[in-house]
Amino acid sequence: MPGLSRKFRSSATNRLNLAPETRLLLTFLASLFSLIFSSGLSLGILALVSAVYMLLEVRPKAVIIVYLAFAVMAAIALSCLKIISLFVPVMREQPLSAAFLPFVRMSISLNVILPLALNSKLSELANTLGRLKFPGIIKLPLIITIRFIPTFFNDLQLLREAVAIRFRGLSGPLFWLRHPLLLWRVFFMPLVVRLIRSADDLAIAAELKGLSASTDFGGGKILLANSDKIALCLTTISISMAYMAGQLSAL
Amino acid sequence: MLKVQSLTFTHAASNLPAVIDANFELEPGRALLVTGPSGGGKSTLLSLLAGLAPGFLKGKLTGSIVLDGRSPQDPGLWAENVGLMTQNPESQFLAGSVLDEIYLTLRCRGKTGPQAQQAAEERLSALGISDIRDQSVFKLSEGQKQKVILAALTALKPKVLLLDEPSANLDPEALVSLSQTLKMLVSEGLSLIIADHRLAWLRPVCQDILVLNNGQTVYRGGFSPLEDDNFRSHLGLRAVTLSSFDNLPKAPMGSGPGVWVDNLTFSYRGGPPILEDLNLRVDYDKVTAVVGPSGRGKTTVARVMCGLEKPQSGRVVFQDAPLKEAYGTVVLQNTDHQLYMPKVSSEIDLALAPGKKSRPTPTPKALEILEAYGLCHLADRHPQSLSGGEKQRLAVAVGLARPTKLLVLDEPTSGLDGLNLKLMSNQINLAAQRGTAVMVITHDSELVNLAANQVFDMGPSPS
Repeated sequence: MPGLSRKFRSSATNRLNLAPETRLLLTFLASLFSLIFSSGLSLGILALVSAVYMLLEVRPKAVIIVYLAFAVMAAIALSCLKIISLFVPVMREQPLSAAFLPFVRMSISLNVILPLALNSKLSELANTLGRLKFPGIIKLPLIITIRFIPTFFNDLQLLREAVAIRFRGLSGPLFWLRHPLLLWRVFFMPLVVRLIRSADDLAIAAELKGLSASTDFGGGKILLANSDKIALCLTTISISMAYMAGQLSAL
Repeated sequence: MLKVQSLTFTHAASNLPAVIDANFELEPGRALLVTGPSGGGKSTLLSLLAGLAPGFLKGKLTGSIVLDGRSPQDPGLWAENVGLMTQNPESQFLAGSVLDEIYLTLRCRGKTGPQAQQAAEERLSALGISDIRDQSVFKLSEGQKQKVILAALTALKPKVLLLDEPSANLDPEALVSLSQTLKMLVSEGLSLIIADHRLAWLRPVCQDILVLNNGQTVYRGGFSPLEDDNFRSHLGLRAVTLSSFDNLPKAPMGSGPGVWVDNLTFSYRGGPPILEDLNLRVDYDKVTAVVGPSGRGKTTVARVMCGLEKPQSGRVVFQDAPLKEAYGTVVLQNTDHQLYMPKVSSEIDLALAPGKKSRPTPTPKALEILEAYGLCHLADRHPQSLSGGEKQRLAVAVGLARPTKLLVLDEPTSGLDGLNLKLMSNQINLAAQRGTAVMVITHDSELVNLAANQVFDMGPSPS
């Protein structure tokens, strides 16, 4: 049903008007080449281009929230690395850039997954994965994982509101600076509980709907608009540039 | 025909069975009401019938459930024939938008794209929610969420439909409409099982009744024993007749001793106005019930009054309140996000003294508050391990523990039995007597009659 695919292309959030097939392909290519490239320059170019793509597709508020969470995670990981290096001398000899490269790779994946998760309707994705003949064992976890991202944002928003209400009149930055453990308790603990519960809920929702690895969403032709073709051309050019930059920097 | 034989289930984390030796049969074209006190095993029974145990609902299951010779062992086939709407409809959404949710549900059951889209549009129209077809499921009111899940379930035409507290967030008009829809589906051969505390709207729908108390079946038969006041009060059940609150005075407007909203206009980003030139006063010392159809903007008013949303025009005034006390507290419908601490008693202690180091033992004041809400025996439990009704009572207790000028309770009795309804209304009245302006957003006419001093009707839905 190519016609249906067009009809279900969401317009409110899909600013670049890309087909889900294109978004999936961009996500796949960016993630693949972030693993293949080892040069910092190549990865930097990919990170930059993917960040531009994300900023064109996703609301700045969502980007800020995700990158704040990402920064906290990176800071914790780097701190742990620093502590380990005190006891393992060989780690001290590693250049600093080596510690950062995994985070650049992660940020590339993040930049392409966010537009896919926040701008795609689940039925679009299911239809697309059906058209692309993805095996059920990949299709089902992929659908649930992608659906988990907007749920995470919703939980975060509800939690922020609940904390704002409960600590009204107290919750200035100074209060939280004086009570960091309470901040951890009231914000991160419920978030963890909610995320576990949301994952369970999504699994039950899929079960109750009869969505399984063998569910067939049918096929149909893949139709690409001009915007999709331009996006794919730009992706190819960006990957080539990143590759060449990597080669030049190695000379 | 659905046959349940010697069904017993014990949750993995508990020693006591939640459902004990349940036995019943349900023929096509019959409707069964499962009722009883909170925590009696109603929701667990429905989850068992939906085939969620032991896969998702961990525990020990004995006995059998058979539908036309099939058992829930094959989840795909079972899901095709048995539909479940849980107490928290939000947890059932798989897609991100309304139309997509119904479309996806139908696609999972093998409908082609055009068939699924046509059927989805038809169901939305039948339930009167076509106007929200493109909305995000996260932006819907609780009542609208329920309607969307119902639309998805009824579109599938299952053999057995299980509804857990379907009346919890529906307005009286929507309940009448739902009652008619269900009657029609039952007359077409559907087997219907409804677990609910509100009994009045179910009288024309259900022929058979099952009363569960502590997991045990204490009554199985027709509706008539529920007419007996002694029978109902013994089991803490709710009324069987719809109560009217026409005799309650209307809430005043304009300035006065209370929290008042003045010509409030509000719309969510890019959307049509939800509130237009709204005027309302919630008096100190009084309980004001805010009623109206789902999606009319009741929760939005509360969010604006408590500072969670900024209005496009108009203002909220806390009359005669010092600036530092001029804020409101709202107890939202989904209580999961409002409970943080490792123990029930610590939640109350945190509300009494925010920022103070947590104590290993509860304060006497915390125990006193828990006692008033019938939660004292749960003082050491983790709040997230409580039942829906218990969480609701705890969230209200937390909201009232800290003195506030305005307290908003959003559907505080949606999962409560008759006994806990009375307990909750007493506490709401006590809060008002202490000088708080209490605003109760509710569809529950029993609560309005028990607790409210005045009523504000938001009027009909704009659509």
